[in-house]
Amino acid sequence: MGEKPLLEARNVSKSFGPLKVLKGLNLTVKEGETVCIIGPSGGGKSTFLRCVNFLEKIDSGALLFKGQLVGYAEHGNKLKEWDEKEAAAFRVKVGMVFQHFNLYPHMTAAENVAIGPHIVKGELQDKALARAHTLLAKVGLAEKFNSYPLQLSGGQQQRVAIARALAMEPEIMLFDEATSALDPELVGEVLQVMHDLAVDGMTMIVVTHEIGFAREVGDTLVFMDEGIIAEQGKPKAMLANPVNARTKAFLSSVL
Amino acid sequence: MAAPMNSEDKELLKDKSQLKYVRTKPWGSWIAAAIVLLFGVCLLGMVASNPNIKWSKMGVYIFDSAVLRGLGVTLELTVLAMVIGMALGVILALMRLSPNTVLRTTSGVYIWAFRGTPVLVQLIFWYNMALIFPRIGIGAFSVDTNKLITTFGAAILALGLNEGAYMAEIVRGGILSVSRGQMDAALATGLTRRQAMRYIIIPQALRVILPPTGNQAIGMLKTTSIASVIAAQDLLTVTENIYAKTFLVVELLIVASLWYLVGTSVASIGQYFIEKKFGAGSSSSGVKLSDFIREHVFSSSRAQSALEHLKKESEIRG
Repeated sequence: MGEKPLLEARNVSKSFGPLKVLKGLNLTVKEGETVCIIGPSGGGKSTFLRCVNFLEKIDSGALLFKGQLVGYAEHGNKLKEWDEKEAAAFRVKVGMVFQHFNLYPHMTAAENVAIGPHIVKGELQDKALARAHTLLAKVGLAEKFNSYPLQLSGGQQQRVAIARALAMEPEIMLFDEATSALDPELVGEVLQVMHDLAVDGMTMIVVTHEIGFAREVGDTLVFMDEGIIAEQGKPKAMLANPVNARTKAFLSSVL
Repeated sequence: MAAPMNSEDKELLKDKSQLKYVRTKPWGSWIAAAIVLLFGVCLLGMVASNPNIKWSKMGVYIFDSAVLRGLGVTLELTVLAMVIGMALGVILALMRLSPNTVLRTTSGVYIWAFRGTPVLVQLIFWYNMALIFPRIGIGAFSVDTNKLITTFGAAILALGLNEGAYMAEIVRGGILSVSRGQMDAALATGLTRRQAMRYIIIPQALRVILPPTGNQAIGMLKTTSIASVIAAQDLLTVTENIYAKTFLVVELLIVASLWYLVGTSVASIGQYFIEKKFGAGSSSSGVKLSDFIREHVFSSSRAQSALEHLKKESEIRG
């Protein structure tokens, strides 16, 4: 793990109408680090991830990716919001995996993986499909190359979704409760892929309810509640001795 | 746990197992079917043997050049009105889904007005445009309205603009049927909104949009007949003109109906194939005419094929 911060959130706030979801959140993610975020639902975990790749816009504070402001570009002495193209170009660097997979149902597994490189990066179709094959093999799904999402189990779909995100060669991966929608016996295969990614040195922010994964794979554990980070630390130490009362209450309810 | 069977029970079971099963006979529906069949045959006989219907004349008029020309006009009206309707529908649907209030409201008012008034009234309105705007144009450039909006033009305008309102709702429904996660996923991989619409959202929406659009096109083929009230020279206008001279009213209406039936039947077949083509990922992709016949003519086997599909799917899932 490097010491350079890849992503910094400084005093980030975000509201949906009258509902304040993020209330001045501060977090630093270093290159190669795996940060696991736990906490009760409604605490702003998913919203934070969506802000990181600019699917949602923050109201105040700053998000910095490699020291550059997310969502705005400097024009003279003004900060102008990104246009569609600038936003899209940034999102290539940020891979995201969703709770409900969101695979494109009208495309095969291979096409799901290949379409991003083909359209966004202009990769030739054959090359993109060949690379899709390699990536699907990497997540253990080489033989499902031509299957449609509906023909795959939840665990297989989520692994295709991970391959789809990796196809863009991102610098950071965001996992938004990637295993929450899976049958219990399918959780392991997805966590295994995520574990391998972390070992390979991918920078990851993982919103999860899998405390075991956070303990074994996470470099940093973050407990998020009511729009702020209530506690943060080394996973093993924090899980053994939570300091914050809310962390204690949450952990005792899930463990 | 079941008690061990004594020998008496075993004997009884053995005896029963040698009996034959007799299913209940659906006498009720057999009787109903016989009555329906009897009525049908009687009706057909009455029509076929009716001395007031000159069947031989129908043979003369069905391929009459004027009738065929009328059929041509009807097909042209259908295609042009549907093209205008679909283009307008897409624009109106996108406006209706826009975050901009003005665009959204404008589209809403259009749909409200054009769906809320009879298309026949709209047709007569366009036909009489010259009463309020005798000349149409910008500045010195202007033309006589009656030259610009011919009967054919009025029919196209009325049918196309009316269709636009219906197509708008169909397209909007199709786009809304695609889950929001699809757009999120596409944006997250670096596609722009426009690319996401083109490659991810629209292809999925089309699957929902196409079936009702096919129905609209088939409906349009029949609705063009209202253009006969302004004598737009469509199939019905032409047949009316002929029976006004020959008094073969029923014969020519049957001729017109036969052509409408041919048109709608051909369109249904086309609809089936187009829908199959866009069904990737949802069902088997092999398209055969025999499938069409099985699904549409022998409709009871539809449930059968759905079952087969489910079976196939569960096999794949293991």
